[in-house]
Amino acid sequence: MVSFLRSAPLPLPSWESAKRYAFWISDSGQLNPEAFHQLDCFPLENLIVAYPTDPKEVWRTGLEAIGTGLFRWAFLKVSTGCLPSQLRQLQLQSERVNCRTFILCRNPLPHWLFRFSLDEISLPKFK
Amino acid sequence: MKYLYLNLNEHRLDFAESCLALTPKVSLVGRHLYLEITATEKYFGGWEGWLARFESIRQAFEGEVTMSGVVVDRPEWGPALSPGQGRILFLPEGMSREALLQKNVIALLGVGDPAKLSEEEKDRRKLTDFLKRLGLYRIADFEALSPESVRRRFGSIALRLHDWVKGDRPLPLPPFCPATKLSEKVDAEEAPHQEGLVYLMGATLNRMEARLLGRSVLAKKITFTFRLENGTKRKDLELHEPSRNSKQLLKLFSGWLEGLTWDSPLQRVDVEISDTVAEGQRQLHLFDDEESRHQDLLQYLERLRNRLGDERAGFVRLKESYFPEKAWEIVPTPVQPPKPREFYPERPLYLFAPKPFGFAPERWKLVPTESLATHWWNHESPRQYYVAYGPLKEKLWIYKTQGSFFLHGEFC
Repeated sequence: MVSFLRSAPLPLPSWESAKRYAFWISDSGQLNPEAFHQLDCFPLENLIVAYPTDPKEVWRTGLEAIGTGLFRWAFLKVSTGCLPSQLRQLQLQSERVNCRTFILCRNPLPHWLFRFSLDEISLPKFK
Repeated sequence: MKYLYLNLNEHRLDFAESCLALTPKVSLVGRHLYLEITATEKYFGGWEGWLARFESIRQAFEGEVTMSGVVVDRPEWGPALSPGQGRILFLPEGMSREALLQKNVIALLGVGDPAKLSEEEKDRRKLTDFLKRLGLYRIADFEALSPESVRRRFGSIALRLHDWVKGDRPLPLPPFCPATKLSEKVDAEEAPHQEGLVYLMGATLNRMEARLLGRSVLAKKITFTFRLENGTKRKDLELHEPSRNSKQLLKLFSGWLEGLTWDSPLQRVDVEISDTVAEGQRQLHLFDDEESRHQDLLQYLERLRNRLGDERAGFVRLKESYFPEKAWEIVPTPVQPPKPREFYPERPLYLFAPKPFGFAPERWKLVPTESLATHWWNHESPRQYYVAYGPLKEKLWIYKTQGSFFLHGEFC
């Protein structure tokens, strides 16, 4: 994911980046904001984090946050999957508000085919 | 359903108006105020969140309003269960009925439609006296009677009361509509000098803030009318940035007051919010909607924090700490972070609460990255951090302290 964040067209001119917000939500563990800030790819002051305890709340709050149309980027790191209908709703909402949504989940998700999987490009090669 | 019943003695309309910030289902009948909690309990993050919000409104009226009340399942039981003496009783959900049945029959004076309590008081007193003479001392005894025998022995009022006690009769509460004018009066005769007037104005502006919050508006223009012995003076205070923050308004008022003089004793000051703007519709930039977007974001975040807890949602503020997990905190408003450091060791983007990590060291490759001498005054041991490469392409961040390994993060 780090390499992806670095390569993605995230860096923006300051006047434009100021109005773009990102949303990070996860149910177990937390984003390391210090390391995120060191990447220098997105302004930390434009990042909102949420840490519910229930994985269902990650899906629900993630959908709600994306639906507000306030975020250009949403990262959902969740320990369990969800129903296909919820995933479809998430996809539709993301497209409606033009939000790039990333789902980081170890468990396979139902039937939805992602455009690509980050695992393939982000996991380090063991030497 | 859960209701908060309050018996107010002063500033009833103002307090009811402020309570619209808590729930749209506000009803004021005489001195009886009813707030439906169930409607917005979830919105404020549960009962505790709702109560915290109520407390902030109550504090705005501190010293001005005396109230007693009770949290009940049915609004018609509120006056009967209210403890009085400025206290608020919190009855757990489902316990109101039991509490009512244990009351003395004299509590029947407060059961039912609040609009008719004073009208029926005389008849109800007669009824309760009669019930006592018959040996019915508790409401439970009265409730145990059959409706038919109640009607036959005690009449139609008693039957109606019997229905209220049993909860068979719904109470339609009228919705509260605030007055169109948002004004307050400050008796300036109580203030011998300018500082005294500013002090009195502080309490008034606190109430104003709560009322503006209830209406979800921000003040744009405030009109002060100074009633002097020999006439009146009217002054408008225009706000460049609409606001309802009482401290900010008071600061403006006190600064502005210094430039004012009057030639006869001041008797009263009328304060009126003569122009308001709906919340969220502030003066915006010409070329983008950044300010309104930011405002929306803060509102959404407030809701999220109410629901998940203050520690679990918000912006991030970096702070100095050797512990990676303590090098930041969650805050409600954005904070500009310092510039990225020139040297930053390899640390993962994702952290766990440190937990013991059992693994077979011969199958993992450990690369030492940094050694942290942690807070010795807390009797904590130094940590040696490693990047651990696993057989299944895992890349983890672990540390060793006192001979044990702990999993602290994951590189993803």
